[in-house]
Amino acid sequence: MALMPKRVKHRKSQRGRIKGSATRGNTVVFGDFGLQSLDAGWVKATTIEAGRIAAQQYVRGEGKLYIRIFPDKSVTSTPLETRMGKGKGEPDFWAAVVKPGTILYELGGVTEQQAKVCFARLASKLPVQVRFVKRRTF
Amino acid sequence: MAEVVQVERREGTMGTSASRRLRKTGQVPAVLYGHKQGNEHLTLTQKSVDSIIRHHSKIVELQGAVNETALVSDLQFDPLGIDVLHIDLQRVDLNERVTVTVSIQFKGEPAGAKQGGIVIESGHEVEVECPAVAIPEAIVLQVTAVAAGENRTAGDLVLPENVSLVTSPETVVYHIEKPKGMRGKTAGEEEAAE
Repeated sequence: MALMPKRVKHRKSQRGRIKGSATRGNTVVFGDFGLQSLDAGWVKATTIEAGRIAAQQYVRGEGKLYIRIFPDKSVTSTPLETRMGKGKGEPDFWAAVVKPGTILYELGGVTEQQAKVCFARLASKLPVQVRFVKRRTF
Repeated sequence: MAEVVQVERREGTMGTSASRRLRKTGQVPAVLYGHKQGNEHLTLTQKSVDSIIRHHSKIVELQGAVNETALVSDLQFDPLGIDVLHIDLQRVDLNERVTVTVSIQFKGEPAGAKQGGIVIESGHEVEVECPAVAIPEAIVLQVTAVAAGENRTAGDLVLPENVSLVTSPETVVYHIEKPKGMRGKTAGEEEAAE
């Protein structure tokens, strides 16, 4: 099942604007390799799940995959063939707000070549441009 | 041997705008402090900074505006982790002991991985105290004998002479998770299954 918050204070959120780059969650911490976002955008919970499945099917229990983002923003939508007005729509899906620099996924316990192939499969599912990064050793 | 780096003294205004202008010209701002002496605002070339990172040089020999030995105590990166924005240099005497972060290198193919376990490298670096002249580049941990369900802590690291551990020795640095089929089984049950 796709990720979503257990309980929220407010069911609906304002859309907001994504300004600036990520100043937190922008370094590889848990694994050896990471997938870093180069764009700002919303990544749907279903997309995060699709990426997880694509990666885990490739590593097949060899490595450990870490998901570094969580979809905590509810996005509402108005049903089709509905007249305008009558208030804000109902929550449609959950999304993670991603800034440039955010590490989306991390992988540990695999070789660099395996990680690159794995993240290439995963990257094709994402709505943002990404790049492959290694853990900083200095 | 320490890496030799040419530095220039920063003159005029400091601050964000001045630093940005400096970076546009291929220079990186730096600060030198320590040993109860005044701070020195310096600049390094981007090329020398890249060299420091490439060679993992913790100790650098400053030449030019100042002639001192310094420890690279902090590097500030941009949000994407590509460019270095600023360097902190700490005055150091080669005979004194310093506390530094050293990376751990895991060597060998663990027995647990052959059993189908998942290797989890939970600690990638440890804090150690050592003489400034002999900072180890990395500490090697042999993991060949680690079986599934076992772990190695910071205390298991074989440290070079004159190097002492600052990180808690109980900190787990390497762990092999049992494969799904083996979880919940005791050692006796595993032997019986074999």
